[in-house]
Amino acid sequence: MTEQLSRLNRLVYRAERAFVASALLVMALVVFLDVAHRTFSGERSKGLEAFIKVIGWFGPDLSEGTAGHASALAVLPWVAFALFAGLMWAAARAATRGAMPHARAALVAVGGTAIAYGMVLVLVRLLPNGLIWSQPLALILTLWVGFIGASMATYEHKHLRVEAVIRKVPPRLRKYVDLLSSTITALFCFGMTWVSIRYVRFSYEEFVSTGGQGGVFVGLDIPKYVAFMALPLAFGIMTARFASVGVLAYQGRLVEADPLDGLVDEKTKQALAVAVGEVSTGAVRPPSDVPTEAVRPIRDDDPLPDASPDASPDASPRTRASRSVGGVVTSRASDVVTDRYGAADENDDENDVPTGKDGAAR
Amino acid sequence: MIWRNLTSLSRARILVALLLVTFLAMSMSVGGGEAEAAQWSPEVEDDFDMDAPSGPRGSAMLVLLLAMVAMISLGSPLFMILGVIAALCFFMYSDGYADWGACSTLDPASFCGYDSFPAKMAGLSTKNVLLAIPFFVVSGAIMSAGDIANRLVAVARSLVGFLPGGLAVAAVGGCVFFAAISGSSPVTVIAIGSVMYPALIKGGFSPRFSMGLVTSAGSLGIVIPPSIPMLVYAIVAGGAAPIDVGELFMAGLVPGFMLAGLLSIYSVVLAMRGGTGHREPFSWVAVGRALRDGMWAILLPVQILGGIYSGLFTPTEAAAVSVVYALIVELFIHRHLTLAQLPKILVESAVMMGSLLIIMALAFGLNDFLVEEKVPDQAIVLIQAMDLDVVKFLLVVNAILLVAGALMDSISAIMILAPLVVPIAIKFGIDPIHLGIIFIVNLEIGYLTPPIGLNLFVASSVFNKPLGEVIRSVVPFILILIVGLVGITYIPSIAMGPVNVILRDKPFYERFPTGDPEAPRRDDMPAILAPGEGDGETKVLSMQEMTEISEQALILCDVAENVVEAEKPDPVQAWLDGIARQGATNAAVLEPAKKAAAAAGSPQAYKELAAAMKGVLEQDFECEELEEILAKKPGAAAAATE
Repeated sequence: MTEQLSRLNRLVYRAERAFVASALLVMALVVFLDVAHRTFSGERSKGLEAFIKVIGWFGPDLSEGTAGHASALAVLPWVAFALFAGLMWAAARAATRGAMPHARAALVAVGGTAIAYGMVLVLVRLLPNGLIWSQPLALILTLWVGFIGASMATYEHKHLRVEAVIRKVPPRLRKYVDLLSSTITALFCFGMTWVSIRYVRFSYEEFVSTGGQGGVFVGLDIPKYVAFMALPLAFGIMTARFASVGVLAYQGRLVEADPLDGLVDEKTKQALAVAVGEVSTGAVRPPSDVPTEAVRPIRDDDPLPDASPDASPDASPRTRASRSVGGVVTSRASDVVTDRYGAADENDDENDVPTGKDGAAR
Repeated sequence: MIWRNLTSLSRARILVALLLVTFLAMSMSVGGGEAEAAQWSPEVEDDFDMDAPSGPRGSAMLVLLLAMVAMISLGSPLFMILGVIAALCFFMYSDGYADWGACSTLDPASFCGYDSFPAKMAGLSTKNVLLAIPFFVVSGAIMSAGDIANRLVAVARSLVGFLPGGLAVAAVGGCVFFAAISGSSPVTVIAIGSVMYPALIKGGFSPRFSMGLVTSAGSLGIVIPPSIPMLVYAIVAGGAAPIDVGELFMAGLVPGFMLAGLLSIYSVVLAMRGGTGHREPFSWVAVGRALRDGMWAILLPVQILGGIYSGLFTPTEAAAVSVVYALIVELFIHRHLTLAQLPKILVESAVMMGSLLIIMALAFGLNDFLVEEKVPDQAIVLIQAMDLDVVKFLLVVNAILLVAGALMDSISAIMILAPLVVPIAIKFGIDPIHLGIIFIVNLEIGYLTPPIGLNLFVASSVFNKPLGEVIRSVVPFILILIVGLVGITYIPSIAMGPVNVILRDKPFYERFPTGDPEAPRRDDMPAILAPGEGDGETKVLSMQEMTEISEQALILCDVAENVVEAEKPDPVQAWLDGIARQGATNAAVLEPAKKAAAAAGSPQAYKELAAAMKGVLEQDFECEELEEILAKKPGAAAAATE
């Protein structure tokens, strides 16, 4: 039963990941295309206005009605072309791998710019009315990404929390406190689910009673109740997840994750230590003082905490009780990144709870 | 006694918890409406008297405090603390306007007091600026996935390496470049620190100075645009005064560079005195080579700011373009990112966005309560009762913000404090943009002040040093930043000058606000008059007068319609009779109408009437029947007005 539930949890998390990643990409692309469309279509081009404004900073006044306006109009496409082609040329020359010789780079630059311009023309032709719906759509997706992200943050234990006091709780009481805390949070989330369902139903009534005229986003054909379904969905999942965290804590199946997970990879740390010459390679790092809420369930491949009591702190996941440091309002590890994407992430799907390099090094 | 047995760190933590409680209690007590003016003074953190308020409100406050203490002791997530506080506030202070029983049903027709919560959250989907946050997070994460720290440091070194202590100045410069791209202070410390800390030590600087420098210069991330806390400020403070994100970004530019300059000057002076003034020869070739590698990263903020200020994009669109730009650069030019790694970055950004958005959503619930209970207004009354002038007020604001910055992360601090402080500051004549920069710089220093200085923790673990040592290392830098803060606070031109010149077409010099509540308006605002004031042309009408006029204008049309339908023999006379019967006597309506009727027959008759009505109603007034009357009987009109 527990096994099936946790598998379901993981499945939901994977679906959420797929959703937020594609939603973020779609949002960015749609708004970008909207910008491109508006810059290259219509009589009053934003690009022209910007060009005139920028030139105006340097002196010559080319605003509408002056003698220079017509020449600005004539010269702008060529300036833009030269700018893009120049950038593309420099890019082709500077690419990290496969940098091109001059002639080929120039060819790629001119050809690439022409193709890009052609694509914009196709875009303008295909969508003569532009993508005015892009930003409202992206905002709805933001709502979805945000709340699904909050539900994922529950899975990853990455919600900001105040835990000055909880760290001082004696170890044997800790599991009861955790259970209580998680239960209350789950109850709160359930309450939010409930009022969100009320709100979605309200939007639905608005949509139905007006025969599909009201309760719809302006400029979009998406009914509001569809967009707002993100709320009960996310809060519903969070209710279940907080409840499961409570159960896991009560069973003593939560361990402290390395607070530096995702902050710095092991390679960078070692390189730093060697460069400074203070720590020899391979030395055991003391537990860091970074305050964190990061806990994760014990994975199957973890050695049991009480099976290896003498192990060094880095050799096994530390049980929470053994640590006395901590803080109050904590940061998200996801906030902090350095070249960690460089390291290939092996079987990412299996380790969907962030384990970091601590786990990888073991 | 127990106090002494604790380590300094745990002492700090307990203090923090206490301060956090008093801090929130402070804002709550204003909500209770019974707080005394003195409670707003900075000393209140030390000896807040919980017994002071009494009666039902006092006990309600006690419940709030207990709930807060309980949730903090349980280590509850921040979003739940905010949500529960807001829910309790609504429940206890609502005075029966809401039907709590309705909450237990799913019937959407009934109104339940908590329906405003999901409404607020759903309302986030109307805030365009919000969209910029995920975009900037994603583009920063994509861009900093590779080795841009090295590239940026190389550019900074080639540019300023010739100065004495040039290495330290280059570290500051690298932080400025990186901050403009990633917008996150801790990321800046790690990325630039990993490169520059070893280099600085090799260059002869002391470890303490090196650590302090990169830790504090890394905090510039939120001052230099684009910055996510600035976006949050624009969204939160936007309720009190519309805030242009472009202006806010522009206002952060000079203070950011000024603070970087102050840190650089300190480094140069120290290097010259300490004999570590190693200088690298300056060569244009080196600059060119470094730029060739580094320009792609530097072009990201250039594209964002250039796009915004040339008018090509809005800040939101600039953010979306920056995502596409960062993708192209990392996939095709830097080639540090493969498509397979992209989902991971996107997911991490989404999780970060999620933990942020849910706090924002519930904090808006709390703000809703504060506004409903007119807490900012009460705070204004309290502040005015304290006889504060602008100088002292700004001092208090700075003190509160520094404490808040030391206690919580920048975004939570903005969410909680901005809705309270911004309306008051506007009353004092402080520009909300200027105030925003004061907020950001204070909270930037908050990254360096214990107990919750995020950069301190990050530096401590990245450089493998005890926290105490890191704290000692940043002390001189905090002092420098505070000098800068004082300048930014009391010389508004530093922040507002570029905004005035470039975006507002005003002179560079920004007058220091006089703080006279009688004259809080800016020079370019039209005069505000009371009803009845003004001359004949632009008399100010009360709501009642306006209603009367629009009603009587409608009567005019209605009567005209009847006249036309009944085909009266003398339509104009019938019309005038009808008006009199209906009691349309308002001079403002009748006079222009009669005048127009008198002119009937002339080609301008209808035009005149329409213009007159437009003047009355300030909107297009269509009255086809009237036109019909006037057109049908050209001669009758003159007789009618006799």
